[in-house]
Amino acid sequence: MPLIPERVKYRKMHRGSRAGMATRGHTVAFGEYGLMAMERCWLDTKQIEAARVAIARNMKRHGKMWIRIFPQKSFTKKPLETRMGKGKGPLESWVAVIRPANILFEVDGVTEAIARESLRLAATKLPIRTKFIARHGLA
Amino acid sequence: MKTVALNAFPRVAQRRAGAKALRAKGWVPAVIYGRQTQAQNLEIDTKQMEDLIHHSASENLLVDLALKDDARPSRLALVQEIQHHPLSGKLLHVDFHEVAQDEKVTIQVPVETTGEAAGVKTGGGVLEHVLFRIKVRGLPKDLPEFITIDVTNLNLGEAIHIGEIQPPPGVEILGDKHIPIVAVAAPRTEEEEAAEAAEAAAAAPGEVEMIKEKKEEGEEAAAPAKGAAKGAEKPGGEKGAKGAEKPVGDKGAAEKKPAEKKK
Repeated sequence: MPLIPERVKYRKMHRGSRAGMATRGHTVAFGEYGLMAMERCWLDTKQIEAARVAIARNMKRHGKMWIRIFPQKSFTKKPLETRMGKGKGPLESWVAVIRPANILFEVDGVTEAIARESLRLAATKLPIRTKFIARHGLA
Repeated sequence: MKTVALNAFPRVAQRRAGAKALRAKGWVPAVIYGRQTQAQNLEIDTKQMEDLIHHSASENLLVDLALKDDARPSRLALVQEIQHHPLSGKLLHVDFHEVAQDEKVTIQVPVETTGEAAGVKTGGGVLEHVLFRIKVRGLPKDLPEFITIDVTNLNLGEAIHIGEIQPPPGVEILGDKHIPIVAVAAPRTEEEEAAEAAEAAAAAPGEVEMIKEKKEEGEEAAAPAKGAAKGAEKPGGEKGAKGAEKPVGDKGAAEKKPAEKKK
């Protein structure tokens, strides 16, 4: 599954606001263990994919994984050595807006030790502080 | 469900500032409501409430609320909702639902599994929880804290449905009998993973389809088709015949002749 939207109405977006805490997607909903964001950021397609690969490799086809975030937002960048003006730059990538308390990934069907290690490896691919959490608050 | 004792006090502090001040002092704002009584704002000790939660299997608690300066010595109440801070997990607010001992109530009870499924042990499958909570109905004293399901005999591709669970005595399990609670899914193959990875690698940021562009193209295609349909509707009519004979762009071309350049 490629981590970009299939169809969009407008290609270029405003930057929007990242203020506040996550009011949705802040509970472990599908699996037993999850990775929670402690800071706010934009996570781009490559970072999410890198984290996903890290989890998948460590779990070795056991268990199940859920990606709870999706890069819905496009961001643009002006080419290097370009003068200001002349309109908005070309599309650079797609990002997910992450606020504190957002659950990024969830895993199930593996032991807590494996889940903890998998999500730790995933966290090393991300630019923010994260926290390992369990559905029953045991972790 | 066992009843646990809890002390509560009537609350005067209200709204955001009042609640914040209360939490800073080590108290949690709460509310009690029920069918027979009016809603009343309360405050409870944070530590006492946290201890109750930590010593119970779930957040479904049946409490005997001893309310200060109340006409009744205690009130039987179910913990309806506990609000936690999303980041720190600290208690923010508690809802108590006052119930009668002889009146049936409906609550959601967590499901727990015991044993290792045969499909997971030998087949390498994954035990999937489809439902984490199920609705049950019964008298407050009969309600279970959680429902345990034995998954030892569950093979690959099999599931346990709501209808297959034996409810505790005096309790009725609600919901569609055919909804699965736990299932053992087949493990993922290498080919599936490889295909997924290839798809992800093939995606580039500029390849997103635009809804607007597609709409415009659709309109352009529809316009000539409409004209053709009109002509086809009145083949024998004078107007249609005239329209068909006359080239569309003739008049426009004569009128919109570009002005000659001034020398």
